[in-house]
Amino acid sequence: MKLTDKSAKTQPAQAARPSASRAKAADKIPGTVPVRFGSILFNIIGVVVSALFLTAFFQHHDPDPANPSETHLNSGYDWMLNTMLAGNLKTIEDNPDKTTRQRYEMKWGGGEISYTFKIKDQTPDTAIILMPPRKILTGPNVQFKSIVEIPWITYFLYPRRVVYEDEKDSSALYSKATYLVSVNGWGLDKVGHAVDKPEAFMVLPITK
Amino acid sequence: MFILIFLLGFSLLALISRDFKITERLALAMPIGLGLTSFIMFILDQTTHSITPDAIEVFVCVCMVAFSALRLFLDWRASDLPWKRTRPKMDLSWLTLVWVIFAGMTAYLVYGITLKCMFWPPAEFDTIEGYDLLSKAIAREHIIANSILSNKDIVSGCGPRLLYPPLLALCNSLCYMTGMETPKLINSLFFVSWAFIIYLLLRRFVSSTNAILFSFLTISVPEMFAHASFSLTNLPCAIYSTISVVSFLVWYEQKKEGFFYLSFIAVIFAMWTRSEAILFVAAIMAVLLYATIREKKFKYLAIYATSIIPFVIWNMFLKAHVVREQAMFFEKKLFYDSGKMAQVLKSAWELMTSSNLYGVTAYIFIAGLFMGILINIATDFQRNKFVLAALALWLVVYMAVGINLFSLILLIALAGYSTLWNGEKWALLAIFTISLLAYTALFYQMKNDDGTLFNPGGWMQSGYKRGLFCYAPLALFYVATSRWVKWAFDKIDEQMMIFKKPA
Repeated sequence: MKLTDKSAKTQPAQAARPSASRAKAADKIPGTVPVRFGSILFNIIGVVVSALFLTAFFQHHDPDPANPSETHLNSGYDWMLNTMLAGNLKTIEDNPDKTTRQRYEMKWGGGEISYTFKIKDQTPDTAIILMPPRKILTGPNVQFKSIVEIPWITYFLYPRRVVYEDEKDSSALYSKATYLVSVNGWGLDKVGHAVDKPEAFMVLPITK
Repeated sequence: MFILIFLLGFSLLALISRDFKITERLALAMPIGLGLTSFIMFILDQTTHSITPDAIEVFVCVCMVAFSALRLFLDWRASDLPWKRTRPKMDLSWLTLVWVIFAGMTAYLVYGITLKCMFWPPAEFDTIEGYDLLSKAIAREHIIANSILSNKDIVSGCGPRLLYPPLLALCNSLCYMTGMETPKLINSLFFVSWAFIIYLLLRRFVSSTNAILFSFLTISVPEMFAHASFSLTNLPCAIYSTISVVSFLVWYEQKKEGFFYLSFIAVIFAMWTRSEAILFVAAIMAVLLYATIREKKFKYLAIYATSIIPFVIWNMFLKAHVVREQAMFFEKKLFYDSGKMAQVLKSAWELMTSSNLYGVTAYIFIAGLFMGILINIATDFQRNKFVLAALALWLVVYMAVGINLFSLILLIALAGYSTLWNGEKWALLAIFTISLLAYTALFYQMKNDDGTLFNPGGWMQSGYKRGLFCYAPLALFYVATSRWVKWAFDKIDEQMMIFKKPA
């Protein structure tokens, strides 16, 4: 048997044929809009079916405390409309005037991002910023997570450049640092001048 | 700036062909304009070493005027100037109340996610430690090989995400150049265009109710929808890939020349966003090769083959400008490891069928495959008895291994056989299968020395999952345009038609 193009042959016979009754009606009054009772009825049925479909599609299921990992076939759509979109639209409505910075703080709950913005506020665009050793930043007293990653902190401080104390021997930027971030007293001896009121977190210019 | 980019895309589409309807040009103008602008920026970088807003605007304006003038010249030569053409009568025969309901719901979803996208600044790891970091540097330093790409510590800290092809990074930098605080406008422009594009491309094949229902299903694929508010490359890549595959089908099946060139441009932009789109080039070229051999027309194959040039150029650019350690993610030799293969297939299947991620997309696709096979058997048993035998064999395999990616691939093969045997359209299924298999094979070929291939948040759980964005719209498209679904919706639309089609 040969493969042949049978699509035309096997196409259902009525697929391309308009209904005889409508063609007849259109012929009677050419150029007019045929509003048939049948089409109105079909549209109303269609609307009801569509409404039922959408209701089922986005039906909300509250998590079952006895079985929190339970999923439904529409779990994704439910989350998308009733949790993610609804929650975000409410947040947007409640916070229309927040700045980009405040939105970051809303999203990440302050902490590291607020300290990062403090560094940005207290240094010029041309600054080369010396950060404490990563061990101090991630230590039990500070517990930063993202600040220790150079791409992350560079993203928020750009065009300022960043170098960590850990790169003392490997980075050419180290000796050119113009500012220093002091955390819990670290670095106060490196700024080249006396600091009157030391604080837990400070951004200090380096005097050479 | 963005209005100029829109007009650039519009004029390029007008130049390519008059096959495109005005609605299609409007919907496609932004993604095509953004893609082309990213190339203009790359050319500026390589020639003048200065990507400034003024230079971009001048270049965009010059291209736009050149494209428009050339189009007018061609029309004038053909004595077919736009203002002398007869305008078609308004046709509202496609409008039904069901269309209104689904269009309204789709519009609400797009509106909601656009608000969300514009409200939250970029917070995704891949964008902060990748392309958006590069965008900021491009906007300020006006070159691509800037202080970020030349900083060895940052390049090694970011990993491959900083080195993706530059379409999104360049587009994002346009936002910073024009004084915006975040680049989220770009994602919104892509997604809003996408809603119109998928509908209009579907309309090339199916009736309005069918098109709007499947557009709604495509827009509301949960994981893709969530990504509409993220500043990541996956969704733009999926948009370009879908445009390229579907436009190719319009050209292949309906012989509309302009769509071949649209497919060609879209696949270039897809690869200019993410390199993995090269798999679509391979799959489309496999179909083209078949057509070339059959019809002895080598022109199209030769043209499509050149689409990989930007991919090569970007890799040469990286080699020339970026200091990086040669991290190799893939095993260099082909191998067979049944355990790893099973794990990749299992993981892929779980992602595809997860109702949290892809909703009912996979189920609709499987149902579509089954329905096509069964209806073919039912309507022409004599012709399809071998198809029935193959289906029985598949059921044996299914009972042995259950439903998983392996049995799905066999089912697709069976559907392909049934499609070919009954003289139906097979190109989409072929492109979908070849590219999906190759994409899954890529992950099988990946190294798993540190266990990151299957870990939560690892390559499969993040990379593979998002890569499926390119396939979900195609799976739905396959079902929407399958012969029997199309036929059923044609009948429904015929009954629901409110306004008469103009004579």
